[in-house]
Amino acid sequence: MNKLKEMDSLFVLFLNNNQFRKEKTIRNILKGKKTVANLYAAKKYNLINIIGLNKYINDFKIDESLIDYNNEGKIKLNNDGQLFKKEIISMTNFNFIQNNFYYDIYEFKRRFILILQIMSEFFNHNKKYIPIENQNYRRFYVKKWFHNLSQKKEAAIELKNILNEFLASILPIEAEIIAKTFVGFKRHGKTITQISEEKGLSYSIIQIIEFNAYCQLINFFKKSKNYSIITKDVEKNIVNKNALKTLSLLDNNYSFEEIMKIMNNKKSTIEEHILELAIFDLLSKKIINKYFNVNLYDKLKKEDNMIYNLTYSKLSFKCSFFEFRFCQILSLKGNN
Amino acid sequence: MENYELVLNILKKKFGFSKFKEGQFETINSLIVGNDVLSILPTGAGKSLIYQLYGYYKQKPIVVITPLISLMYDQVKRMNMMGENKAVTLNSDFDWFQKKVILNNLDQYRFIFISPEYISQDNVFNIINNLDLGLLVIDEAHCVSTWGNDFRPAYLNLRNVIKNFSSKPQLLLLTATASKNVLDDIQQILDLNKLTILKKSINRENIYLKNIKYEDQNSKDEDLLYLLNNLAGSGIVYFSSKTKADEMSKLLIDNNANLRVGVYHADIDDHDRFVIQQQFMNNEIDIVFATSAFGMGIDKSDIRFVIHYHLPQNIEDYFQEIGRAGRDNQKSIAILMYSRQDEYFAKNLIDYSLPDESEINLFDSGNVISNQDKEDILNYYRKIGYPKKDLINLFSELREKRLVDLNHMIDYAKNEKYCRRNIILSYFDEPEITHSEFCCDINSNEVINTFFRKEQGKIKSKELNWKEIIEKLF
Ligand SMILES: [Zn+2]
Repeated sequence: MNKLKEMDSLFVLFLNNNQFRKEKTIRNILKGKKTVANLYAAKKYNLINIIGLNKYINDFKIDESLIDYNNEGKIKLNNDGQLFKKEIISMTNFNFIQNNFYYDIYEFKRRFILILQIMSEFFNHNKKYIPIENQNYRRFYVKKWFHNLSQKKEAAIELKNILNEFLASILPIEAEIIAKTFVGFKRHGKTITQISEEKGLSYSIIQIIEFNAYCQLINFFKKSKNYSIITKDVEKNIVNKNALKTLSLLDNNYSFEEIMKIMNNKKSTIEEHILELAIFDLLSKKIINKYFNVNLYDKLKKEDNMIYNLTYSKLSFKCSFFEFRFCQILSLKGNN
Repeated sequence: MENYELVLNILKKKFGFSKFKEGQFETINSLIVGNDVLSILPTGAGKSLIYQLYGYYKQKPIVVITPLISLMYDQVKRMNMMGENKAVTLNSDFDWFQKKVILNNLDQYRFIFISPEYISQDNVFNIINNLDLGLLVIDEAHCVSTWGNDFRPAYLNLRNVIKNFSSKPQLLLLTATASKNVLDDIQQILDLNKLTILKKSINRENIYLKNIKYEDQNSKDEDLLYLLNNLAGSGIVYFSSKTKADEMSKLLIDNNANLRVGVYHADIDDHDRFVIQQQFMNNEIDIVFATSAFGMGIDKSDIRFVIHYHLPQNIEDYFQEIGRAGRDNQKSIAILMYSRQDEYFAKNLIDYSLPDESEINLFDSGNVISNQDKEDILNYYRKIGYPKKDLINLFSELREKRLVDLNHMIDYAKNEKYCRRNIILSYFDEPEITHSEFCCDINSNEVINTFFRKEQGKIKSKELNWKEIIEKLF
């Protein structure tokens, strides 16, 4: 446990002990870069869920003693790294990290804390307090919601019940940490630094536990009508809008050439749309069959059984990059 | 006297106070008579109350130009707290749409806080020009002066802003620290020759001034821990470096787990800043480790000590920062920790904040310079079409001025002979006072122990579990 006080190198969470990965690529995934190449890498590394995580946590350090390098400079975990990763994973529930993919957890947290403060102060009949939120747009938005809320007292009690139910459902340490960040009547909350000093755990560990707790909290508000404001439009645009347009055209049996015309896009752009849609499993069987080149797939398999490891420029024969990447994406699914 | 009764009534009704702080009524009264006023009031004198109250008196909208966005939000928050909801901020935080919504509804607001950059934009200015203002306030007016460290280029344009009003609004300029140089600059740059200047003595007799000299960093660190372990009441420790503030906070906590401390600087996000401010205001923490960003919007009256770990950039800054102590007029102490190395550090900070000739040339030929602040400031001058040659001159002049200011500060820090208070007073062109035992540590038998706690160490309050937290909230 003493180690956990010092340990800041949570980059281990994005590595494992059997696949060499490129640090730069993972950093780009964390930043939320949504190029097809980056999305493909996220899929290959099984890191789709952490796309854009930097908005919430912006510093993931690497401890050299926990990793091994290969001759291309890619990294994987060594035994110590694997043990450390296990230790962290045992402390908090990572199953809900997928909510980072669907929701802007940062925006959710900001909105939630402001609403919690407003409801708690209201419940305690206190009108003179300093609102925590600096951003006018969030304040306007929440103020309007509060104004229109018809049964305020009932809503406050509902919030209390939601929180009690939620805190009882998560791991004790998660409950303890997230509750310390709550702000309201005569409570000003604690900072991550203060909690980390109190608990004797590193800043990064407290931060990731807090983050996981918020990932879980969001599910508790999906059912509530009164609080739909908290989850409303904090959803992320998972796929870019133009790719979605392409999808609907594909679904309506338009040909590739027709789509290019309607969308007024180059061939390569539409191809990128299709690849992106494939990465997110949004293509129907019918469309997949239309763009899947079985012969190429078999040829690639002869180069390397794990097609996703191949590099286009190093192939021993020529083929279309689009078809090549399409095969790779399908090979990741392993459902061919 | 008729005015006095009238505004006293507003004071009671709107603010719940029964009397004015020094300088407040004089300023309001001078405004009522119709003057353009430059009011120099010490920090904590309640400057915002002046224009707020005048707004109620005039029943007309008031525009306040403020340099710092965080300061704007603080003011609006405080007004909201007192039940005034018609206050709004306009600054670069807003996107196009949000800005549009606010501008379209600007006549709904009584107090409009705006940045100097924003009011200089034509579409914004045109709307404000049509508002029939009760008063145009220039807060932190010393920012116009290239003499000061807070110099903001956008303040230079305020001269044009004032001129462009179709009917000139009444003006109130506010500042806490203004030496003669700065005052001259304000009048000259803004081209205001009929200003009524109201000046209250900036002296704060209840703050004891002490300097301590150190040979090396280690003894300084040790002594800081010793002081913090013993000084009574709440206090602020100012650092010039964020890293050092973080480092010392860790050291302090490892050294004495009973001390309750928070860190506050530019890298702390605004949620945590709120938490630290509120904890400090409510005595849940005793000490804040801060860079100069802390305190601008804070109004805690019982701060008992302010320590400067690093050398401030100039006497104005120093005086403003120690002025956060003892606003309740109780005995307080300001300690300046000085060591030789601090001088180099402070000089480096000047270089770090001002672009030099080679950087200006680099920027001019379209290259990126590594420092974002410098890039921003150069971008600003590019936008207003400032020629390169003038720019080089301007910044080399600025550097000179800041070095002069810093040297004053160094002299003050090194001084072991003259009354410290009188050095500061003379810097601000104020008359000398008679040094006494409780003034400063020159020729004084006052010992630092009188500022130490009588009782044993502070006890941390019990931590609540999550069930208790929820019960407290609802
Ligand atoms: Zn003296």
